[in-house]
Amino acid sequence: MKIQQYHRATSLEDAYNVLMANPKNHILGGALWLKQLDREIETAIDLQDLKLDEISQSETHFRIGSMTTLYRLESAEALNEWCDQLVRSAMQHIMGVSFRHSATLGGSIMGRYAFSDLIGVFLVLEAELEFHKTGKMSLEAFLHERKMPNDILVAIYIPKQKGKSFFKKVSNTRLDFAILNFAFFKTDDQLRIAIGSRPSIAMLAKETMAFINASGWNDDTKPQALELFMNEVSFGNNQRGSAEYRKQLAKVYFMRGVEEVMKGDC
Amino acid sequence: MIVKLTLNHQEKRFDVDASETLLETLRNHDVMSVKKGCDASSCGTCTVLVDGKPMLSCSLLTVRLQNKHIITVDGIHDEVEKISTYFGLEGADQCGFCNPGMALSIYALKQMLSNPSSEDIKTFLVGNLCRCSGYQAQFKAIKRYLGDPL
Ligand SMILES: Cc1cc2nc3c(=O)[nH]c(=O)nc-3n(C[C@H](O)[C@H](O)[C@H](O)COP(=O)(O)OP(=O)(O)OC[C@H]3O[C@@H](n4cnc5c(N)ncnc54)[C@H](O)[C@@H]3O)c2cc1C
Ligand code: FES
Ligand code: FES
Repeated sequence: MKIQQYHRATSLEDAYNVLMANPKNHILGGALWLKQLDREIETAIDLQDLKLDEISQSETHFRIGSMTTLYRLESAEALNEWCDQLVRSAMQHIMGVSFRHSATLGGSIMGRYAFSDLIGVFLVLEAELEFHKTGKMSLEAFLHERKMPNDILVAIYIPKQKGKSFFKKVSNTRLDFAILNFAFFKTDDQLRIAIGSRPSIAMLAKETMAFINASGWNDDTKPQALELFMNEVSFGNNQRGSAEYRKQLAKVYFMRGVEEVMKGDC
Repeated sequence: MIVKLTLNHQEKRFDVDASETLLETLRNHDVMSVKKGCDASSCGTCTVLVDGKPMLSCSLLTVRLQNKHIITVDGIHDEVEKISTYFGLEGADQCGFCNPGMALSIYALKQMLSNPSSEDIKTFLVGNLCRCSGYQAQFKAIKRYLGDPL
């Protein structure tokens, strides 16, 4: 990464105007990913003065500013209590503490990384994104957008839903990218399942979710649910694992994850 | 650009270009205790404290650090002495390249978590890699240091 100029934004509008002024202008999150890229940045736009690193809550939602670091996400007691520690479990699988003090939520969402351990978690928590100009859209819709919005991610919203959670990252070493990752969240009446690093980006297993939500989870429905899941999710090869290996892992962790969140009350 | 910050409790002014990392700035000004390992946010040897938080200086742009307080091992001398003593007693020292970054993370751990479990310690320090020690002796030394009053 080579940066020509640095701009410390005084407002969202100011940041947006600079972003629009040149396609080579970019927003800085923690700059950890940007640093790895061979990219010429004309103006790097810093949002650190815009108070986007706050987590607040209303009766119905948590609002998390896009400059919130991954460490703050894992330390946010109220948020983690609501989601049965799902956010914390996932964050603690991303590199070390010093890394997570810099890496931001905004950079983690806007990068749409296929290996992301965070995206699946926010998919099952039904996150909604708020952009400065584009307004609000669900995380799921954002992942399906062909063209990334050329905009500033301001915050994400998580509806307050009590539930049981299960997170699993399978990787060769503690600091490596996932070979597969799974996030499960079960509220009183809804089970949601996301699977990522397939090696493509995280997706919700919607048909499987609908089937289990309608038919329940018992000895009769389990084989059908597993079959649906394996048909619905596609797996591929990369340096970390073959599609075949991922399929074997997926079968085991699908069953384990659903069993775990179906146990007991939410 | 001129950046004003505090380094180990002393005010400093650095003239940097926009791409310069804190690791580069410090080493260009002879702060050699901050080590360059991977230069890719993966090994933890370049750890410094920024406003008390452990962070990777290889990925921090110096221009973003206006008015921040930076601490390296030179700024927590007494604590580093204690950590080194326990490392010595447990035979945890080998080439020593990871030690400055490790010491800052251990010090931050002591500040940030009260009564950490073994698992908490491992989770906190997982980003500080050591190619020599195998971690066992370090782990024992860290537990002894954490038992000391700050
Ligand atoms: C060595 C390494 C290992 C990693 N390992 C893992 C892992 O195991 N699991 C995992 O889940 N993740 C991993 N990551 C990804 C990491 O967790 C972050 O998601 C990533 O670094 C991006 O966050 P950042 O704050 O550094 O963003 P940046 O690098 O600053 O930005 C990334 C992109 O997002 C844009 N952007 C940032 N903020 C905004 C905003 N508010 N609005 C609009 N655009 C914005 C930037 O312009 C840039 O294009 C790893 C990253 C690195 C460098
Ligand atoms: S040199 Fe910074 S993490 Fe390795
Ligand atoms: S003692 Fe050599 S890298 Fe840790």
